[in-house]
Amino acid sequence: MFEPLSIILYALAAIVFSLFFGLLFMGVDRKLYARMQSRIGPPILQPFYDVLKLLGKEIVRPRGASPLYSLAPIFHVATAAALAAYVPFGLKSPLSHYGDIIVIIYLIALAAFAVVLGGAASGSPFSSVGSQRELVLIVSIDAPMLVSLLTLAWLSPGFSVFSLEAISKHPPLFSENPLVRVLGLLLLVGVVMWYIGDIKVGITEVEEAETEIAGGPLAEYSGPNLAMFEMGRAIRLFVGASLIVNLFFPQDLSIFLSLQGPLLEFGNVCFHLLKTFLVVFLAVTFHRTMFGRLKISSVASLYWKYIIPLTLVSSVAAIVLRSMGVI
Amino acid sequence: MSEEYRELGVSIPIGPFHPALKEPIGFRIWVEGEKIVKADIRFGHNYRGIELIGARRNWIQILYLAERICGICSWSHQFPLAQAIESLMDVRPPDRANYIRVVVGELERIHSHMLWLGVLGHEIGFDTLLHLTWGVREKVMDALELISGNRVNYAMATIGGVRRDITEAKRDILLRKLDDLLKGVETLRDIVLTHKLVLLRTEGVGRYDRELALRLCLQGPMARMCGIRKDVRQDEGVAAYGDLGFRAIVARDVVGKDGCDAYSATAVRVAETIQSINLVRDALMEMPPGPISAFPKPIVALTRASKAEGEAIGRYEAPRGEVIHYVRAAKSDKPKRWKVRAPSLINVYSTKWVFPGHQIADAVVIAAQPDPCIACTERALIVDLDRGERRVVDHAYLTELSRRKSKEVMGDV
Amino acid sequence: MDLNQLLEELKRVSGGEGFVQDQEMSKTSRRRRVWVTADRRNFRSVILKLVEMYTYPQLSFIVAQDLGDRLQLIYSFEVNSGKPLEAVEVSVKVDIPKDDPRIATITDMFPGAEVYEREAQEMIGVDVVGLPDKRRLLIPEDFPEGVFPLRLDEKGIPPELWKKKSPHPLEGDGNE
Repeated sequence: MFEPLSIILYALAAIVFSLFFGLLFMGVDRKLYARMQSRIGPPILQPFYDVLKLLGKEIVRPRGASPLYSLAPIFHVATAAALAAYVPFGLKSPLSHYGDIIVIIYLIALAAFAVVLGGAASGSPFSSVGSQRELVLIVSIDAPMLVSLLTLAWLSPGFSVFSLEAISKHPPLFSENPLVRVLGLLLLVGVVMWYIGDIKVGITEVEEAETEIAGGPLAEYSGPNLAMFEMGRAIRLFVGASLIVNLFFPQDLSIFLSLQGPLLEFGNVCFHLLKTFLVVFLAVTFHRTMFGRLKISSVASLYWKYIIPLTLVSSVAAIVLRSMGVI
Repeated sequence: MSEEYRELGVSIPIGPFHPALKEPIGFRIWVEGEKIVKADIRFGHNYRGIELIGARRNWIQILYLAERICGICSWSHQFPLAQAIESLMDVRPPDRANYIRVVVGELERIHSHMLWLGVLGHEIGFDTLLHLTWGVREKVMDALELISGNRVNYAMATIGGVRRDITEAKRDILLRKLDDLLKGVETLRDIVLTHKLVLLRTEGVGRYDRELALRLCLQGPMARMCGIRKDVRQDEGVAAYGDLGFRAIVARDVVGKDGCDAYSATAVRVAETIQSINLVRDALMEMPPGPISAFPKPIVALTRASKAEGEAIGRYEAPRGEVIHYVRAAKSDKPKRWKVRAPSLINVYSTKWVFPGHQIADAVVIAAQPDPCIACTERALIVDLDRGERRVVDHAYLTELSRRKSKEVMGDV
Repeated sequence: MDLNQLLEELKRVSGGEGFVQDQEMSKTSRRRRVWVTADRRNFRSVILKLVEMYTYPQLSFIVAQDLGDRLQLIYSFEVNSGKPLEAVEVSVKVDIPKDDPRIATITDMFPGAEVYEREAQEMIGVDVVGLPDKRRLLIPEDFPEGVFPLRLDEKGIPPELWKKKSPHPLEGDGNE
C-alpha cells in the first residue's frame, strides 16, 4: 500500500515544481519583454506577488453569473495540475503509467474549455465575446496538435502505444533518415503554433484582448478565482513548453557528461529547464515583442489555411512513406 | 438605451471607461457574433463648461484657460484664441514671433502624432511599437521644455506674439536634437508602414469614402487620408507657414493611393511628422531678427483688447485638424461669447457612420483612428501623469527631479 | 472671387447686412472673413448659394449664442479649402426670436452638422426642426429639462441648481 502514496506525493511535487517554474518563467518573460522594449520592467518575482495578492482578496461575484462561475476556475486549475503530473520534466512523470498521449490531449482541451465555461458563466458581454473567440481558437489550434501528435506516434518505430516515452526515445528531428527529419520539422511548426495558440500571446492574444474586450472571459473574475486562472496559465505555459521539449528535444545530459546517479538526475532536470526556457523565450517573449494581435478571423484563417494543411500533409506523407517502407 | 436599440441584440459598451480609451467617452456597439451592426456615441463624461468659465476671465487670463482645454494640443488652443483676439484688435504680430509660433506648433504636432502612433500600437496589441514611439516622443518633449520650460502647457502664445525668444544657443541645441529625432522617426516610418501586422490590422479598417468625408466635413489627417488636400496652415498660411511655402500632405503622396482607412491615416501622420521636423528646421534657419511681440507688456495688450468691439474667428491646424475659436467682444475686458470648435468633435462623431460592418477587433482601431481628444471635444481639463515611479515620491523630490531634468535639457545655455 | 463680390452675391440672396474682414497676418498671408446676416426663412438658400458657388464648402462650426433679446446661430463655412493662401471663412448669422426658437436643420446638405445642431439645441434651447437625432449630446441625461446652460436669461442655469445638495452625500462632508 506504500506505492500509491508515494505516487501521490511525487505528483504533488511535480505540480508544485511546474507551478513554480511556470510563474518564474512568466516573470522572466515579462522582464525580458520589457528590456527588449527599452523599459525597466517588473521584478522577476512579480507573478508570485500577483498570485499571492489575488489569493488574499475578496471575491466579487457579478449579479448575472451562473453557478458555473465559481466552478470554472477550480476546474481549470485542476486540469492544469493533472496535466503537470503527466508530462515528464527531465525525470519520469509521476503518472506515466496511468495514461498516454490521448489523456494529455484531452487535458489540454479541457483546460481551455474551463476558460470558455467561466467566461460564458460571467454574464458580461465582454466575457461572452471572449468565450466565443476562445472556442474558435480551440477549434483552430487543437486540430494541428492532434494530427501532429498522432503523426509523431506513427513515426516512432514500434508504433504500439501512444506513449510520450516511446516518442521521446526516437526524436524525429535527430533521426538518421533525412526524410523523417524533414517531417519532424514540419510537425515542430505545427506543435509550436499550437503552443502559441494555447497560451495566447502575440498574434493569438485575441481572447483576452485587453484593449478590445477588456480581458475577455476573465473580465469579471477577481481575487482567488482570478489567481486560480493565473496559476493554471502558469502551469500551462510551463507544461506546454515542456511537452515540446519532450517530443522534439528529449536528449538528456548523458550525451554530454558522464554523470551517475542522483547527480545525473539533478543535471537532467536543470538541462530540461534550460531547454524549456529557450522554447518559452522564442515562442513567447520574442514572438510577442515582434508582433501584435491579429483579428480572430485572421487567426482562424492562419490556422485553417496554413497550419492544419501543413500538418495534414506531413501526416499523409508519414503514412505513405511508412507503408512504402522508406522510413 | 431606447427601445429601438434593444431589439438589435447584444450590445458591447466601449467606454466611458475601457482599457482601450485613455479618456472617458462612451461608444456603444451592437454586434451579431463578431460583426458590428450599429454604433452610438455618447459625449459629455468630461464636460466642464469651459466656454462659460471663459466668459468670466479677462483677455489674458482666458489664454491660459484655453491652453488647459487639452494637455496634448495646448498650443493649438492657445494660438487660435490669440489670433482671434489679434483679429479683433487688428494687430499683426512681428515676423520673428510668427516663426517661433511655427516652431512650437510643429514640435507639438510631432509629439502628438508620435503619441497617437504609440496608442495605435497599443490598441492592436503591439506594445513594442508603443514603447518605441514614446521613446522618440520624449526627445520632442525635451525640445519643448528647452524652449518653454514645460513639457506640456507651454504658455508660449500671447496677444500679438510669443512670450519667450529662441536664443542662438538654444537654436543650436534644437537643431542637433532635430537630427536625432529625424533618424528615430524615419526608422519608425520604415517599421510601421511595412510591418505585416500593422498592415493586416489597419488596411481597409475604418474606411470612409472621399464623398462621405467631404459631406461630413472631416478635419485634419482624417480629411487628408481621403485625399482632400485641406490644411489651415496651407489654406490660410497662419503664422509663418505661408512664408515657408507649406504644402499639405495627403495619403497618395506617401503610399501611392488614398485608402481612406486607418492605414492611410497612419501614413499621413507619419509623413507629417517628418515634414514637421523639416519645417521646424527651416523655421529655425530662416528666423528673422526683431521683436517677439507687438506689445511691450501684456497689460498694454489687455488695455488695447478691452477697447475692441465686434466678432472674430481664429483658426489653426492642430495635430488632429482645424481648431476654431470664435470670440465676440463689446468694449470690455472679458469676451461676451467664446466658442471653441475642436476637430475631434466631428472626427469622433463621424465614426458612427463607419463602425457598422466591421469586426469588434476593428472597433478600437476605428475609435483610435481620429486620434480622439475627448478633452478638446468637451472643453475640459485633463492631466495625464504616466510615470513609472519605483519609490514613494514627495513633491520636493519631484521638483528636484524636474529641475535636474531642465538643467540637463538646457545644457550649456 | 473678390471678397466684396462674394459679399454682394450673398447679400443679394439673403437680403441682409454684411461686412468683410481682410487683415494682414504675415508677409504673405491674409486673414479673410466674410460676415453676412440672413433671415431664418432664407438662410438655407444662402448656404445653398455657397454650395453652388464652391464645390463642398467645409462646415467649420455652428456658434449658438444668446444675445439678450434674441438667440443667434452662426453657421461658419470655409470656402476655397485646398487652395494655398486663398481660404475664406464665410459666416452666416441667423437670428431666432426667443418666443419661437425654431430653425430648420441643414443636416440634409451637411450630415456632419448633426453634432453641432445637437450641441446648439441643448446649450441654448433652439428647436432644430428635422434633426434626425434629438437626444442630448454633452450634458447628462439627468440634467433638468428646460434648462439650457448657455442661456443668459431665466432659462439658463438657476442658482438652486448649483446650490442644490448632492443626492449622494459623502460621509462627513456635512451635506446630509
